[in-house]
Amino acid sequence: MAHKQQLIQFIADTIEEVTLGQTQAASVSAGQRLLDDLGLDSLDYATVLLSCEQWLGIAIDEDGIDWRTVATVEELADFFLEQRP
Amino acid sequence: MILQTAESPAAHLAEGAVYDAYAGEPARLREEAAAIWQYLQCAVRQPVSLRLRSRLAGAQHLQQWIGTPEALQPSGERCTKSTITIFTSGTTGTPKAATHAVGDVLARKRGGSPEERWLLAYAPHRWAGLSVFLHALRFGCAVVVPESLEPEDVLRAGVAAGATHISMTPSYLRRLQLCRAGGELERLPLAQVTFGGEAASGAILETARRVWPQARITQVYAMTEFGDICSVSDGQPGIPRSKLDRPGFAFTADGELAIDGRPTGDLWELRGERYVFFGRREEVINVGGAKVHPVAVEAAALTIEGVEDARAFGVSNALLGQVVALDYRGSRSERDVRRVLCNCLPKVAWPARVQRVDTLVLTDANKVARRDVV
Repeated sequence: MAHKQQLIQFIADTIEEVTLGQTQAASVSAGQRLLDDLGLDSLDYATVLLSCEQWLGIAIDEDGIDWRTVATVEELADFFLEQRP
Repeated sequence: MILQTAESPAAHLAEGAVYDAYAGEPARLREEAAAIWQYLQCAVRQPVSLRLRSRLAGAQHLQQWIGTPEALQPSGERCTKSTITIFTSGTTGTPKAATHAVGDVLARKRGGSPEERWLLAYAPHRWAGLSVFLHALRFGCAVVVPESLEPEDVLRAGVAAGATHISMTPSYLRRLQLCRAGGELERLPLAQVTFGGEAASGAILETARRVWPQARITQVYAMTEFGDICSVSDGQPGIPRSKLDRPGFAFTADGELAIDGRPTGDLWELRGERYVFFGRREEVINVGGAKVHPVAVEAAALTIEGVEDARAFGVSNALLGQVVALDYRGSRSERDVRRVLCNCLPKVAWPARVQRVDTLVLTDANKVARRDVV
């Protein structure tokens, strides 16, 4: 199972892919907000979510998610780590 | 910008004329809102007609799928009563025109008051946006028009103006929560939250209740072609049976609702005493309220050298409800295929997941199965 740092790196790589290279993985830091700081839109964010679900082999649903607590790269990684069975 | 009935000058439009207007330029939201507001105020005084065409930004290359709407004829006809002709988005095929008599729509509006301040969170040229304007016009309410429909602009305008009412999709509320100012949602002094455009889940209804405990939470079922159909404010997902079991409404065996004999394309399932929406007949993918037709995505994929066959379908997504996925057979890499599609499709249709497979899933009738079977 992935460790937090691996997951953060995976998210950064995915962001680079999702933005077609406009945002380089190397420039992504854990504390950055996906939408405001990294310039992702809802569809980009949704794509990152789906990629993480696939990578970790889990599916998340909306129940219980407070979207305000999953705004940064690190918060998103923490969220997925909490979702592990 | 705040639009108010009493303070807005009546438009001077020639009686009986038909006006065509382009809409849908995000950077010109306030200009568009002001023009439509002016038109509507004129429309209650004398017979005029407005036809709203929306631009599908960046989708000119999809024209072959959308076609040229035949209903868009040159202006100049006379009309005997005020109407609005609005076109469906066209992302699912040829845009369809729907004409609504302004007077009839206004007569169906209920329960407003001049003290209401509606925060605009829909494009004015969409039915949901027009519906906000018509409600405001009917009851003399104010409409708060943000600088843009970007969540931060909407929040800022709503807080500054003390907005009391908002109509939005469930996906838009999630987007509001995610923006930098999402922690300030509670500062919107909302007395009414109306959800439409998508099915509102129990989770999103609960979120709204938690953020605005003083507000009434309403779901409205409306369609561009039929206007406002019904609304419910009991806080439960779905619609009470009594709202849809009524004269002129009928369900086919597979759950599609028809109104006055006209199929809506909406599929419903009766669970206990409530109807629950479970999709469109045409397998359209609903990405945060925007509709994407799988056929268009598949066709774009099939133009890529090395792609032999493809199927596009929707997969569940916690943020947007659904996103587009694409399975394909062929020699090109998944990364290549996605990049090519991102360069030739409107963003909403970009596949969030591209997967090379050995065989494509088919239905019993040997048709491409455009359902998430993962």
